[in-house]
Amino acid sequence: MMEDRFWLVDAKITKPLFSLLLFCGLALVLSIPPGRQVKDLGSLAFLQRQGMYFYVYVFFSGLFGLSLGTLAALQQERGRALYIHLSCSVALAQALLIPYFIFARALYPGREGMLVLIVLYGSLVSFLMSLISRLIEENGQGTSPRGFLGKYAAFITYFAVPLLGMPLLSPLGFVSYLLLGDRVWVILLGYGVPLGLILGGILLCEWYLGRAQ
Amino acid sequence: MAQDRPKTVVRMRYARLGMLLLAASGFLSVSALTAPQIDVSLGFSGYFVPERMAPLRVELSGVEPAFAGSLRIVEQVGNAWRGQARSSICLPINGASLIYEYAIPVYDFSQPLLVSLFDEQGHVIAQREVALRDKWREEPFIVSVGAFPASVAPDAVQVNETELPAKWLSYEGVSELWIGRTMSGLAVGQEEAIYRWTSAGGTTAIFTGSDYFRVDSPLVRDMIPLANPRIESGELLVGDLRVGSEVLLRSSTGEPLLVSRGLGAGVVLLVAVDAFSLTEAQYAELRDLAPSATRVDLSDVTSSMLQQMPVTRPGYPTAIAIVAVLLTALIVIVSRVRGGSARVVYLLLVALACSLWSGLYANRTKQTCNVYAVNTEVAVQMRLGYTIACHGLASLVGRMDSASPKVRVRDSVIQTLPRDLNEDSFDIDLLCDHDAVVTLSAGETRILRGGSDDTALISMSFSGDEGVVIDNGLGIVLPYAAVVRDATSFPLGPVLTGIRTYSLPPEAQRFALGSRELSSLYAAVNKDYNLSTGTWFVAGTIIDSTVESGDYREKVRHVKLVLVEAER
Repeated sequence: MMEDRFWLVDAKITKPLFSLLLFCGLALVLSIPPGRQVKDLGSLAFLQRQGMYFYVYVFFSGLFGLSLGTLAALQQERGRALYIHLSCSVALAQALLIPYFIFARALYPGREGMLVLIVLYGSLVSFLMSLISRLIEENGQGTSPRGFLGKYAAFITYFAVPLLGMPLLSPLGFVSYLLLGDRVWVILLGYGVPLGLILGGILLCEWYLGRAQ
Repeated sequence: MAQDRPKTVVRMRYARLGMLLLAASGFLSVSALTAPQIDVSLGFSGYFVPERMAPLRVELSGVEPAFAGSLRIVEQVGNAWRGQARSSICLPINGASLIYEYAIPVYDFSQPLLVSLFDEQGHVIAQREVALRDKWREEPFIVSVGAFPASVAPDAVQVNETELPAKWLSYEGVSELWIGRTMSGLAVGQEEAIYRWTSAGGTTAIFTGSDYFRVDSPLVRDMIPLANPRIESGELLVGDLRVGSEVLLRSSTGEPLLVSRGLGAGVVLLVAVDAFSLTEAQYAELRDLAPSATRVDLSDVTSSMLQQMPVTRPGYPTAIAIVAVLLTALIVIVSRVRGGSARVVYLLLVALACSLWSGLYANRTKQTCNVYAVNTEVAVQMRLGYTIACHGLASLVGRMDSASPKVRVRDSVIQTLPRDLNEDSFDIDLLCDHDAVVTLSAGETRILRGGSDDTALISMSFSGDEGVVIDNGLGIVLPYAAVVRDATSFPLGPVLTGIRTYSLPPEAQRFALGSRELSSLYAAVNKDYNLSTGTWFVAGTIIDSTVESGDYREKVRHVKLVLVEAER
């Protein structure tokens, strides 16, 4: 099969990128405390207090990664080109989100370190989900319903299941640890999970996609 | 002889043993004598009113002159049904004195107060429990000082004059203070505390007549309703009625027997005879006529100011605009621009422009604060000065769950507690460095009130008909100031620091304190101090600041009102 030339920004990536920017933007707007006086700040204050923007960001970064993996499966990308293309796409999405993070700095003053850590973590999660998606979609080449269900099942397994017992393993759970500024070893462990999974994913890609080729 | 020898040996052994025991017991008793001990007395003869300030007197013994440490007073408030809270107060001990007196908040009576003496290393070296269950009163009570005829006020708490506290905040649980036949009069510190408390809303009845010499002092002369007081017929105090005084009772000969006079927000009652010359009927009339002490309470006005405090935050329109620009740019660039590299470059340029926009807009002035605080102060300067303070705190977005802001207090503070303590944490720590630390959950507000003694930092005198000399030693410029003379105000403009002469405007003008906060604070105290009579210098200032802490960002508004009474 003839591979199309890779374009970092094309019509296919527009939809996931648009969704990421839109939903993170909505979360950012909702994170602004409502009201102009202390008395006005009531029930909606919890949205900002709970760091809603960061949960939404990590969640949609994962979904964006799934879409990237599907696009890579459609293109039958593999090997070094796959990793470079996925990394560039993730980096572009993160670059487009920088204005949001600069704005979010006003909502969480004095916590710039936490913002950088979350951006880094979101990028890792996005890259990991793109690898997983690429692997699952290999058989259906990005178009089979089984692959669609499989990648979302993997997404839910990674994001939701650990919340029941080991929240540190889930991206949503780990965001809480970052927001609360937990101990260093907990933070390192939290980063170790996607890093380890990415390494495993790359090895799996090399083996599985190489064999399929 | 041979049989006596063992007996002698046994006796000697017993004697040695006895000496050893004697020495050991002597050592133990000496060490017991030198061990640090604390003697604690709370309230007025032990009586106090929960959720009000009360005097605490601590006497140390067995400590070295160079001892330095601290006292910690811990009270567990509430019970299993109401919920629990903890009040902890740290008071520094410097070893220069063995007797310490404080005004401390007492919140409850169900559990004892635990007073501990700590050394410099933080070890407990003495401890004492003070039972609170036996001597609490639901309402403020009458305190009678010195001797009185029995049965004139059976519900009054009788105290010796040496027990009277020297801090005016300690009198918060007192409804009326009766000063009768004292043995040796009052100490200067006690007189000053009584003056300040009375001026801040207290009621003091001074029994004089033939006992006047026992309480006579320049400060008492300044308080009582009679000028140039003198004893007539050896039993009746007479003099010239001061402006604003009112004769409430007259003797059979028509002489004033009970005279009242407003002092600041309080009332001074002068009984022209001694405590043993009033009949029971006259005592009953005295009790009917004497108003109960009021408290100049800034809680409501502080709470209102806190609720109306503007929130610092970035605005919605800019956030929406940034999102909209990014989304539009994405659509336009993908649909209109040909060539992948150009699209990336354009998109990154848009992201860069939006980042700059976002960074320039969401600067420090737009950064959200986790805690909002309003500190209101009314600094009153009459013959003596004092400050009534109130601190309002609101936590909007703590460090995701809660914040523990510090409040700088000059003396003691008491917080207003709800009936139900289960909802949030109402623990309060008053640290040795005069910081009060409370824990606030997000969305919670807290009101603390307190006060302090002040030395005369600001004074006013008239220079001719149109000039007024103000010595402002507060160290701050007072932007809004006026002289209020019998409800007529003469605005002065900003009052700078130091001694300066200001000219009064020829005609009275409408007095405006320049801001809603100061006006509401003025209105709150105007009814207590009756600022429409006499001559007052009224000034105010508002200072906003932002406090950065490791855990939270706090926006603080200081609202200070200064009231100086002109020479009466």
